[in-house]
Amino acid sequence: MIYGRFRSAHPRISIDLPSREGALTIEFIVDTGFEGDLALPPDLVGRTLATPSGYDSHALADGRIEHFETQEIEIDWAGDKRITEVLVIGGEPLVGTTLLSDMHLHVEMAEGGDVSIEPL
Amino acid sequence: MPRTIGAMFDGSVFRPLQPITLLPNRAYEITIQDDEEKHAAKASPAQRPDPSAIGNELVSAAWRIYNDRLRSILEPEHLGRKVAIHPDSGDFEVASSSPAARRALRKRHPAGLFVVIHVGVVPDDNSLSLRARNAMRGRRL
Repeated sequence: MIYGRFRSAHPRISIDLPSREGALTIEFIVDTGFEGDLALPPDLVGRTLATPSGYDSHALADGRIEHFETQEIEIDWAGDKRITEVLVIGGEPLVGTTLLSDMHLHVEMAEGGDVSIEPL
Repeated sequence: MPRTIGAMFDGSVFRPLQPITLLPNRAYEITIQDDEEKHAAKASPAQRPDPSAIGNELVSAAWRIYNDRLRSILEPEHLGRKVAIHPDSGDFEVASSSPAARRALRKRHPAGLFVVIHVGVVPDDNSLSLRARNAMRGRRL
């Protein structure tokens, strides 16, 4: 079971990412509108032991296609080791729907509310 | 003149991973090189090439493979799904999401760099661009 809190309009959980200095604890927004595993800004990615894995193409609203760097990193996720894809992009760290697949997400949509994630 | 192409061995037959013009029923000499052994970083993700140094080349190669070979195979059946392409070999995997496609392809190419393309997207000639790592602030995809 993974626990978190609803704060500042978003459900949030913390995940430990391996880094050269040991585990780096990062708070992520649980974003059901993000189809991916994790999204992290470049400065945070650089502090972890994530390794380059290529690029993801995304069609933007104006018709352009942009390619975002991706990296891979192994995390502890609901009791299992899991290699996850990290989309390297600015903004707040996100947990997306592919990491939430086959999980039960419980959110109390009120400031300070409980957030929990557990396998189905 | 000798040429190098990628090929997939299915257990009995080598199948070219790109269009090739050869005379049928004619003998050719094949030199075998394991795609994974070709990369010195075979079992070590940490030794994969830095994609930021080769990003444009990698992305362009993936789009060439998609437009020349995969688009006709994947469209329209797989519209809306994601295809992960290993540009070095032309190998690919299709799945409902980018992480799923990458994970499937990673089993065959533990050291490779992949480009994931949304099946069905048709870019304008000038619309492809590579995001600089430090030039992105504020987003919602």
